[in-house]
Amino acid sequence: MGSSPDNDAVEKLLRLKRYEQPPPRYFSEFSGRVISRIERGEGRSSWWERLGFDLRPALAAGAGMVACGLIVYGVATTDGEAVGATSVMAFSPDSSAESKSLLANGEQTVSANSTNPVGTYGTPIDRTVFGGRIVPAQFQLGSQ
Amino acid sequence: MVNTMKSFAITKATKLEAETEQAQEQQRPVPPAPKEDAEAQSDVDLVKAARNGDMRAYDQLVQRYQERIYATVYHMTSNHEDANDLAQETFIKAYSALKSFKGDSSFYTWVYRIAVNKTINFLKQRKNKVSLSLNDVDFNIENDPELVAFVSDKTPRRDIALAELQEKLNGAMQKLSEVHRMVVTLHDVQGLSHEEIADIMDCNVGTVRSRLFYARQQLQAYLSDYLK
Repeated sequence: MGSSPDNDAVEKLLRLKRYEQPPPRYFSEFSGRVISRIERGEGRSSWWERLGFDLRPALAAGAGMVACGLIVYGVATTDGEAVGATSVMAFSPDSSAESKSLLANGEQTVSANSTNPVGTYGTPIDRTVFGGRIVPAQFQLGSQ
Repeated sequence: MVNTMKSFAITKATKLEAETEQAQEQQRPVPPAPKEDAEAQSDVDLVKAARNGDMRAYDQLVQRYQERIYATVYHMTSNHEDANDLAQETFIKAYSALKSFKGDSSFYTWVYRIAVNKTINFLKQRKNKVSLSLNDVDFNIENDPELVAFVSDKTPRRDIALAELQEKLNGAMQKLSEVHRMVVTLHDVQGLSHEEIADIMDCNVGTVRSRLFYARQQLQAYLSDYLK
């Protein structure tokens, strides 16, 4: 194959491509353009590259999805705990006027029957939407 | 059965090709290849200096390899504007990744790898939207009597034939897959050895040979009108 006439002809024809040249003075200006682009900051590596990671797009997308998943999971978990704590408050027998006023002020409350030593204000979303106050409807009914 | 015969034919042809390769490579006018000792040592020094922020050192590295990198990308894309962008981006990417260059291979091979990967990714995104923007054929072609005779033999009106031939040749190249086009470009146009190509494309020498064989067969079929 290497010495067949057709193969020789293909090689000869391909030699034509060696004579295809860019416009005159193209290469005399090429490196200058590259250097000026680097100096403008295009060559600056991103923070993950500086840390030694050379992330491919697929890996970067995967990492982004994992991060999003963790955030969603975190929000969902926090929300569940808040609901639990609110339920305990709602059905707590010592729902006194004092604790009601504390809640109304947006302060932290720990029920006597609650196993949560810290208490809760709810999720960051709750605090944002309800202005930092949790006033469950059940609590109002229970205090009568 | 047919596949077995085909693979036997490819193996046999590959062996024959390998035997004739050495003799042909001595005759073939190739672009300047990097010198192994002095220049390679100098590359190491320039890389070290460039890592420390010496832009003049990096400028020298760019000047040293710009023609070969541009030519590789140009022959792959058949488009001067795309080649210009990709060649520049190759050197910018190389600069930003200079700290991760461990020196396992030469700077020359490393930059080639960046160019090859960038070009193949670009071509995969471009898919079938091929728009030729060809460079002019250099007048130095007159100094290649064998090629001139070949072109003249095909048609007496050489000026017209050259432009037409150039377009057909580039069109045929664009019909090859990216990896086959790359092997033809690096070997038959750029004059790199099988070993260098295997190193750049991260495959073994046998793969390079079989790809080259297949690519030439394809080109023969596409250009049959010009090879009679």
